[in-house]
Amino acid sequence: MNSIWKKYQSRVLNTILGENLDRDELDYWRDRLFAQILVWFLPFSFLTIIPGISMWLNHGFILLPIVAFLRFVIVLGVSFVPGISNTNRKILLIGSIYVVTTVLLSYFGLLGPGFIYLFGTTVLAALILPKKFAMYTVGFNAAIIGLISTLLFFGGLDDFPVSSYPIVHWVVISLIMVFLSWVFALAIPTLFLKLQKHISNEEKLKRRMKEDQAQLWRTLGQLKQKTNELEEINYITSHDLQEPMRNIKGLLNFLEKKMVANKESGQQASEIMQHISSLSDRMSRQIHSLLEYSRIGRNSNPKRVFLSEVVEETITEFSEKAKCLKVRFEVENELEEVIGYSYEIKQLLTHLIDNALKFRKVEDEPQIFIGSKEKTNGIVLYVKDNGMGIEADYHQKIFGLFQRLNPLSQYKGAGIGLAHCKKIAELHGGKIWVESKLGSGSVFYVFLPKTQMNYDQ
Amino acid sequence: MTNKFNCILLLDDDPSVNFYHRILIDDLKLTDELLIAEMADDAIFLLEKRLKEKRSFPDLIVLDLNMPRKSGWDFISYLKKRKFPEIFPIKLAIVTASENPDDKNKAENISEVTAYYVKPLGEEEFMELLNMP
Repeated sequence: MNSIWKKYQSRVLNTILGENLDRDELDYWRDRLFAQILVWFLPFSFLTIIPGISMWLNHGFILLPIVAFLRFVIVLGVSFVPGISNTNRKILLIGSIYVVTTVLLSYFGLLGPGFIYLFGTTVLAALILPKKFAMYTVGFNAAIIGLISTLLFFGGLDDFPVSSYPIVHWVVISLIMVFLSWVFALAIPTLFLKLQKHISNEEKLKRRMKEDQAQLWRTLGQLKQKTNELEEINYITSHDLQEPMRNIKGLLNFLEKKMVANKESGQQASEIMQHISSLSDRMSRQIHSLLEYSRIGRNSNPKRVFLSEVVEETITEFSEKAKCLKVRFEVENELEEVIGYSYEIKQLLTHLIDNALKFRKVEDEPQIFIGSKEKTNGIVLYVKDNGMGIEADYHQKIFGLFQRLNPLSQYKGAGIGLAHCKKIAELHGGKIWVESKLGSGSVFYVFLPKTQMNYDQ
Repeated sequence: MTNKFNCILLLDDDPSVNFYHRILIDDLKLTDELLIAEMADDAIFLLEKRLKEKRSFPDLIVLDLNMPRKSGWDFISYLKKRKFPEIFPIKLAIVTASENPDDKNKAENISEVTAYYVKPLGEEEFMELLNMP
């Protein structure tokens, strides 16, 4: 028995609610209430056929069982027939109640169940339908009462029990009923709206809180990145910058000792001086590039960057050097526009081109190809050369701060260029990597994502 | 107690460090033969060549940790793989700019490492190395 009831209940709920599970919407809850009401209303409307039949047999009111049966059939249809819109189902239910109500009213008048039905219909409409429908039922109520009053007045209902009421009572009580149903038609939807507002406000707050939290996490991530960077710089100042410093001190000590002992040779002294000078140069180069490194992205905001223009400018800056080395530059396609930091992107290109020229093959004329590939979530910029290439073992290491692949005596430079490039790519939320084999050139790729970064127009 | 090394190998990518160590070694007359390399691969090439030519093998290697391409650690792995510290009496001195305690701990756990110094070495350190068993 229990399981049959459950099956029946879920069948009705399924017919009404279907796939709609949007609990944020008031309509969902109205439909849900409607379905729940139907579950109980169907057996109830079946049971009301019995007193109808009894009234027919005892008093000859033939209309009562007919409309009661009719309503049962309609409620049955409303509960189970698929493919009807929920608004129509509700209107059908309310309409069926109205038919029964009108018949009851015209038989029994104020004391009969019809009057309660009339009021109940408005409440039901207010619960399951939008506000305007509840107002319509108030109008219907007034119209039905008006119709019966008119019939009474002209003696059209003289055979029915209703005719025993004085017309004045009828009018007064009817007015009160219409007024009450009007109050409920106003109050219930208002209550619903207020509740919904409250709930949706709460939802909004929850969403805002989630957004705030996400923002907080982002900021925390940025903070962590900054801290890491500071630690890295800290380590470097204590390590890489100390090294030439100590060396200078050692050389000076040595020189001093020699001078005190009066044993230094002019030639050795001048050699020592040369080393001290080059060490100081190196230190100042390192300090300079470290400052540059920490400044990346600090003094500007993301803007529209026309990559083609930036590439053009950068190549122009290399024109003098390019002439000397007989470099062939080639821009392989029209480059897109990105949102980013134009000064930094130019720096990145400068480093990559500078490296391509620095590590060219002695025997070949340098060729540098620049281009881009469109990806779904961004673009990949590439700088390709025909230079010496890099072994796979060092494809990661080269992007570290002060990492070098060649001894100082062979190639000058602070060993910071690619670390700059990496930081610039990361500043854009992108990344940098290299594809290369020793002896057969390198391709540096920079992925720049299409972000929803806020930017200055 | 020996008063001299047979052969010293300096391995550091910084030519100024090598220069400073060289003039100090010269001044202290610490060795007859001084080998200098700026990259681990060059040093490996030198050692292999000496082995082949059966010339005297360095009994002191002054090794930098942070170098381009192969690091000092890589060079130590090479030495161990070739079993050089077992065959030859090599004193291995790590000299690095790094005061990183991790590096120092790592060095202390390698039995082949004789000493760990912050660079550059001075007269005292060289004498210490000379007098170490």
